[in-house]
Amino acid sequence: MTSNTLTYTPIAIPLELRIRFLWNRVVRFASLSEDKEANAAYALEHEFKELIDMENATISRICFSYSGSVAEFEDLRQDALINIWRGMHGFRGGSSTKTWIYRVTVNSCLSTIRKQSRHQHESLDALFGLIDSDDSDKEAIEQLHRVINTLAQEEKAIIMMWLDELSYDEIGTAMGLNRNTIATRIRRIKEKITKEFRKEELI
Amino acid sequence: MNSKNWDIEQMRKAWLEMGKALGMEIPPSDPGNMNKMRTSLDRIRDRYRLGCDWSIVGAIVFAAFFFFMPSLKDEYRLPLAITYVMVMLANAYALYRLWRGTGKINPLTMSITRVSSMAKYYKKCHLLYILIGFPVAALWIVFFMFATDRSESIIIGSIVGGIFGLYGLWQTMKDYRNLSE
Repeated sequence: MTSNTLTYTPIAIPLELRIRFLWNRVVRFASLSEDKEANAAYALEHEFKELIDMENATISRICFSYSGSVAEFEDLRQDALINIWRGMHGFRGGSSTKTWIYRVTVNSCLSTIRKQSRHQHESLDALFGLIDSDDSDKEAIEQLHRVINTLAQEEKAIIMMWLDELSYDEIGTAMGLNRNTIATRIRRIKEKITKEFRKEELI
Repeated sequence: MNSKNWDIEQMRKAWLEMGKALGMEIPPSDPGNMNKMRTSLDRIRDRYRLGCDWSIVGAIVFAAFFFFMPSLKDEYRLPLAITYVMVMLANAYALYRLWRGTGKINPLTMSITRVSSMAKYYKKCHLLYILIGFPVAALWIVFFMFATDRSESIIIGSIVGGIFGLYGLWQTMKDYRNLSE
C-alpha cells in the first residue's frame, strides 16, 4: 500500500486582488442592505396608504367628533395620521386593525393640550360646511355631532366604537377596561343620549 | 331625518354617513415628510422646553442687567434681581415639569382611559401654570414700578397689559372650571 501524501502548495494571491475581492464583498453587502432598507420603507409606505384608504372614513369621523372648528378638525386629523404612521413600525397585529386605529386616533385627539376654539357657534357652522351630503343626512349628522358632544371624552370614544360595531371586548381592549365595565358604561351612555334627543325634540 | 324618531339604527346610519360625507383627501405620505412632521403634542412640548431654557438664560442675563439699569433706585437693585431670578427659575421648573410630564403620554401604546386621564391632568396643570403665573408676574411688575424712577410709562404699559391679562385669566379660569366638571 502506497501512501499518497497530499501536499498543499499555497497559491499566492496578489494583494491587489485580495483587496478588490474584499471591496466587492463590502459593496455588495452595502447595496443589499440599502435595497433591503428601501424595500422595507416602500412596503411600510404602501401598507400605510392601504390602511388609510381602508380606514379613512373612521379616522375622519373620530376627528370630526372631537372638533369644534375646521382648523381643529384638520389639526386632529393630521395628528392622527402622524401617530398612525409612527405606530406602523411597531404595529404587528395583536388587536384588530380597527381597534388599533381607534386607540391611536382617539388618543391623538385626547392628547392635544391646547385651548378649544372660542367662537364655537361660527366655528361649528363652518365645520358642518365640510359635510358633503344631502340635507336630511346633513341634519342627522349635525344632530348626532351635537348629541355626542354633550358626552365626556371617554364616553364619546366608547359610543363611537359601539356605533362602529366593535365588540365589547375590542372596546375594552382599546379603552383599557374590562368587558363588564364597558357594558355598564354603554347602557349609561345610551340613557344619556336618549335624554339629549328628547331635549332636542322639545326644542 | 326627523329628530322625533331617532333610534339606534338611525344613529348608526348617520355615523357611517359622517365618514363618507367628510370624504377628505389623504395627505401625501412620503415617509421622509411624515417622519419630520410634528403633532400638536410635540409642538407644545417644544414650547415648554424652549420656555424652560429661555427662562434660565433670561434669569441670568436680566438679573445682571438690573445692576446696570440707570433708572432703578439703588436700594431696590438686589431685591429686584433676586425676586426676578426666583420667579424665572420657578417658571423654568414648572415648564420643565410640564415638558417631562407630557413626554410620558404615549398615544401609540397607552389605553384611551390612561391617555385621557393623563391629558386631563396636564391640561389642568397647564391652566394652573397660567392662573398662578399671571398674578405672580403682575406682582413682580408692581414691585418693579416701585423700584424705578420713571414709572409713568411702566404704569401705562402695566394697565394695558393688565386689562388683556385679566381677560386671558378670566378665559383660563373658565376653561379650568369646564375641565374640572
